Amino acid sequence: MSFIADTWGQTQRWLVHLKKDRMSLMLGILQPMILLTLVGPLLNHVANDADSIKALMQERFQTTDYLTFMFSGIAAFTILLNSILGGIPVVFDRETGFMDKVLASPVSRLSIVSARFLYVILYSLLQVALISVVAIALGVRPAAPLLAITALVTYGTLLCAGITVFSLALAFVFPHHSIFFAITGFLLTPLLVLSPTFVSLESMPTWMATVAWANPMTHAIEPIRAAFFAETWSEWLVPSRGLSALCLLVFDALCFAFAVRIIRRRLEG
Amino acid sequence: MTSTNKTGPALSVEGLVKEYKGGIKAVDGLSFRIERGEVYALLGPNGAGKTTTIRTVVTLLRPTAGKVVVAGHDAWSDADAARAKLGYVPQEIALDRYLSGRQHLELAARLYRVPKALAKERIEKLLGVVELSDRAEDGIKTYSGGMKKRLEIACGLIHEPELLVLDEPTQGLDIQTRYRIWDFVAELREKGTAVLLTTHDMEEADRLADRIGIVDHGQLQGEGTSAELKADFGGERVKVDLGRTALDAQQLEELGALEGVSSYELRGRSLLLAATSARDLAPQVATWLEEKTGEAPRSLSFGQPSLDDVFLKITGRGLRDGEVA
Repeated sequence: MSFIADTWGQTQRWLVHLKKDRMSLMLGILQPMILLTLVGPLLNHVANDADSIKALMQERFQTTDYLTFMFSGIAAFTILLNSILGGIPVVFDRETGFMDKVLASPVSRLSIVSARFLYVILYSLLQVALISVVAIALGVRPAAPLLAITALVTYGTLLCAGITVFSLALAFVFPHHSIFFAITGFLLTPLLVLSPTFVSLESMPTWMATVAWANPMTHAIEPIRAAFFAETWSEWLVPSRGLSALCLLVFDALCFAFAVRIIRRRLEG
Repeated sequence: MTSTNKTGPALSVEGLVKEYKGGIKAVDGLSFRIERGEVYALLGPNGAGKTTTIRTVVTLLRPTAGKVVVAGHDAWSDADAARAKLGYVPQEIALDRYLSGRQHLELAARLYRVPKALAKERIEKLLGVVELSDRAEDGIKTYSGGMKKRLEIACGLIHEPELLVLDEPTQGLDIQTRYRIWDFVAELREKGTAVLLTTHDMEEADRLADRIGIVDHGQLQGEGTSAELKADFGGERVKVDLGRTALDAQQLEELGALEGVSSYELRGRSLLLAATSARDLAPQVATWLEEKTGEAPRSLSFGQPSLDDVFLKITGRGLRDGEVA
């Protein structure tokens, strides 16, 4: 009971941040929004410009609707961005000494991480919801909306969980935000580029597709993308969906084990 | 809720050792205790081990050896119970810029698991005590340094701790705020809350503390009430500013052998002598200096020793840098 109360008690602090700093919420979706509103329609136009390209698109991407194709990648990218930066307030709390005050209280240690974790997941899903509104306005139409939403929330949460926990672990490792930003910035580019955010795995060079397979982003994007194009649950529910979920669960478990090890070591003085 | 042992001391530190990687000993066998309702000041130059001691007491650091017991609870093996009994106000102001004064107190109440109804009552009371009732809803971005410090203290008291740890509580604050905080600490003592404070301000220690511990090189070098420490100084004191005059070891020895001198200490150009009668010794010292060095001292003062004199006598030269805090 105390763990839940402790988690909720601290989550409320982050919710005050959300209420007082709506600008960050909007700025956080600016980059994915630019990609969605400019790159999406542009490439959609290119893809449908000539029959030969259209045919190639169909062959490599299994669709000519590039906007809907890209949306699942942009949604995953939004989640990636939020979760990888999810540890920043913890770094600042450590820098300012606020964390010392929290640690000097009897509050559950795990709840410090779980409160932030919970908040980042809620925040990411909120941002994805906002981006979805824009996507619908631009013409993204999932064939089976309930299936698309379920896949988006499920695989999005699985992706968010592992990366957020990893980011929180980094926040306990690096004492200064400058190092934290440098490391997360360095990780962000390969995670984005070596994934099927903009192109399908089939369109990538073999070596790149192999590397991309080890990227958790891939295992979130592929099932979400398939859910946007599938017309029925049975069409979507193939063994690779389970494999993707399993890969994300393993990734989450590894991140969790790494975080527990790091955070425990840091908190034990 | 944890059980409360109201009979033992509020804090007991026994043989505390904290060794960092590389074999650096920040605290080396420190022992002291604080009774309930007692204000105890821990004094020491930079790098003496004060901060490490404080961080160990508030359960942020695991001791290498020794024991820290807060209101009957071991600060490491029974940490949660110990944490529930202590309030901590760090040296640096550490507040969340997005929260208001009231939201900080609400968060503190949740961190210390104070029941909601009780927390509401205490928040109103504490806001009144620290004179922030009319600014409670404002973001702390609009607070002055003094207001932030008062809010920090209120947060440290939300769970009515048996021991309040104040790390340099008035550092960098204006004189009015210092006096307010001093009055506040005095009120806490009257209510039976024990206070452990660290300070560089001798006046603060002299005014507030029931007992003072002087720590250096990670060990307690002196302890007692202000009056006891001053008595241990070895009588009255004569302080001489030598100006440009330099004394060699033999001359110092001769000075120390003057009648009535119980001890002496040379720090840079400043000479501190303890004597049974400073009034009698002062003219002797002035004459001796003029005769032996050919120069009169730049200034000479004498009287009862201050806590400052005691501190400097015990710890030697003042501030030291480059050591583990």
